[in-house]
Amino acid sequence: MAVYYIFKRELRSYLVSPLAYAAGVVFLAISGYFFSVILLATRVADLRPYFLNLGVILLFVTPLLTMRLLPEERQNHTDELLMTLPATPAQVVVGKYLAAVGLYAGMLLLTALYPALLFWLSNPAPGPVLTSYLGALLLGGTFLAIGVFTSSLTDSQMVAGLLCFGFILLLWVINWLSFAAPGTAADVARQLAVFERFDDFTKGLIDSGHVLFYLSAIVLMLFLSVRSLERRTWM
Amino acid sequence: MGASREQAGSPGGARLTTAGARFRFVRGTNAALFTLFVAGIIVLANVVLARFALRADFSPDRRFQLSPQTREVLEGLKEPVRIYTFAFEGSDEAERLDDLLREYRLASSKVRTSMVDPEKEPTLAQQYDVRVSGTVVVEMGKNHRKIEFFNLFSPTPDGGTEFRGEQAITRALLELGGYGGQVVYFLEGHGEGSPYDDYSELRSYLEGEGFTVKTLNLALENRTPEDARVIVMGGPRNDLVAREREMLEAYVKAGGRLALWLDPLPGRQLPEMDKLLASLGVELVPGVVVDPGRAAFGDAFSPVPELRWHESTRPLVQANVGVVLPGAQAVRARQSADDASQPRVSPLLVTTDRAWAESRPQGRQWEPDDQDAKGPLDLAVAIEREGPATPATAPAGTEMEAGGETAEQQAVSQPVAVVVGNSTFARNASFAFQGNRDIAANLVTWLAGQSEMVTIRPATAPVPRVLLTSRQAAGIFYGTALGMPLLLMVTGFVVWWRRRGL
Repeated sequence: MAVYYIFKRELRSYLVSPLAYAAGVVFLAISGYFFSVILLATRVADLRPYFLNLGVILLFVTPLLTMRLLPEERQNHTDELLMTLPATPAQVVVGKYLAAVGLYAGMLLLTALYPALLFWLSNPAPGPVLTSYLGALLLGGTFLAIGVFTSSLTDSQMVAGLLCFGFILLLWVINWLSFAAPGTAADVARQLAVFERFDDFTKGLIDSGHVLFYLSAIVLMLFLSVRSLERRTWM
Repeated sequence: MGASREQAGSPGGARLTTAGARFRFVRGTNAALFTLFVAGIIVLANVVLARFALRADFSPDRRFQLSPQTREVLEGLKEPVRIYTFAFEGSDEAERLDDLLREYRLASSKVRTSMVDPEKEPTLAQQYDVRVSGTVVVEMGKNHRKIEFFNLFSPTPDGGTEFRGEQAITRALLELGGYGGQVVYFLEGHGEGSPYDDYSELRSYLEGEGFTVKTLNLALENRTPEDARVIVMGGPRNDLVAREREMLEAYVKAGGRLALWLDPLPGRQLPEMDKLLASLGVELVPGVVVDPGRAAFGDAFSPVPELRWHESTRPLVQANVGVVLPGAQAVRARQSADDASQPRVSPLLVTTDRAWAESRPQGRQWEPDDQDAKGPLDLAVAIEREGPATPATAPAGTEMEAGGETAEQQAVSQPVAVVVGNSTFARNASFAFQGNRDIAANLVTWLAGQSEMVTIRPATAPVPRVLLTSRQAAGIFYGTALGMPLLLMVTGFVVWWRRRGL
């Protein structure tokens, strides 16, 4: 119940926040640009190239969506209010995270216009479209969880946003290590390559290993956020 | 931190500070250990459960599913296998092969795969004589099989690509595992082109298709080998001797198949060859074919004949590609009193009706005269006869054939020979020209028989093309890249405007 209350409160605050609209506009503008330019250049009804570029868009949009989540409470001195609520830090973190995911899912829903256009114009395979959206939700969900974690580390929205950006960028480039470094480092880098796993979804494959990886990453990030929030109460 | 500041002024402050620090240290350590513990469990769960990953394939070309036949072959592997993919990083062929080989790796612990960029590791590429990105080398023990790009990918008429990777790699595994491919012999001793020189690209292609290619000198062997599925005679310059001709006739009679690719040799007679052709129910038309109607780059001596529908030309007719035969002669069915006993002769490549066979060239003027045969002329024919379905020369590994067709004895049309009035089309110099590679390979595979050792359907997915008017294109661009974001911006502004007054 507390989670639901925080989720509702956070989502409402998103929907009246200029930052959320700015993030949405940036997301839709870059998405629309990628989608239409790729379609007009290739003349093939395939959403995969768009989804392969989604990671870049999320790299910029995720920090915008999450940077204010926890620092704002402290800046507005509403964090004490939050702590006095009959809600545990875990409920606060999950509620806020779900609100961010809800907003992101809404943004993704708006991009459903793209496959609708493709189905109207041609005959694309529906399987990869659906799996791509599932992958996009998991990939975005993971990035948002990272954003929640980085926002739990600092009182500054700017620093939270920058940390989130850096974290995701690191995950993006970590796969390069698999080409450069030998042995275990390469194996670990390959396991952590979030974008490589997403690639399989865009091809039409649902691998339970990938789903588990994203869900684990989300749980781990949210857990670390809770620990970080709890730490503040006794430090 | 706040606590230590408050307590610093009190008499017992120092002791309290130490106690507070100890409390924070203990609690901090506990918290860190707990965090590490949970993180460890999550990582461990991923490592363990990844081994039992379930996969659901929704790709249109079912690229993440191996056929039951491949799974059977992988389960039966006795030795470890190393599969190298030589492809440029990030290329389409690298991605396609990587996806496929991951399935092989997941299906069998005996399979190890390596992706090799030939630019980064030229030594390894050189070791296996790899020259094209998109080449696969399957290695088992000391033996290896190289599968060329053209064995893996072929264009489809709709502009897509047919991926035959699973077919080719599984076939290579079967061969390396001792099931052996069908053997194609290239005849030697009469000035023919060598499969290691003039026809090396064709040999490489055939090996990639699962054939074993060998050479055969009938004078030395004094018999046709038992495993000879097809005997190719590519561009002989000299005649057979009678004993060789008899051996080939006996070979055909016993169910063997012949590919005779014969260039015109003006002013020369090859009587034994003529007898062999006569036994097959065909004869050569004297003269070099000139076809002003359909020729490569306007050279009337390089006719580009029309393809006639036949089992052996089917893929080429469908793909609508051309075949060029530089310097060709025509072939025709012999007139015989007893037509019923004659094998059936079907034209495969036919010139236009403007063509003629120039039998007596005079100076630089090339004009048809009364002696010359007039077009349309057949430049290649397929010869078939009715016979039992089981060929007399069953290849090794027949037990792997699908459908148990070997048991059937009903009369069906059996390939006997292919006669082409040209040998250049399959030589390295012309091999890559349009459909030359395909016709050469198709003629041999058709002769070898319809039943394949590996019957895996190639992976294809239609390319969903989009036809757009310029108006639609503009609508899509402005609608998605500008319209939608603008609409959201306006919504945000309205919300802000309405809340401004609150």
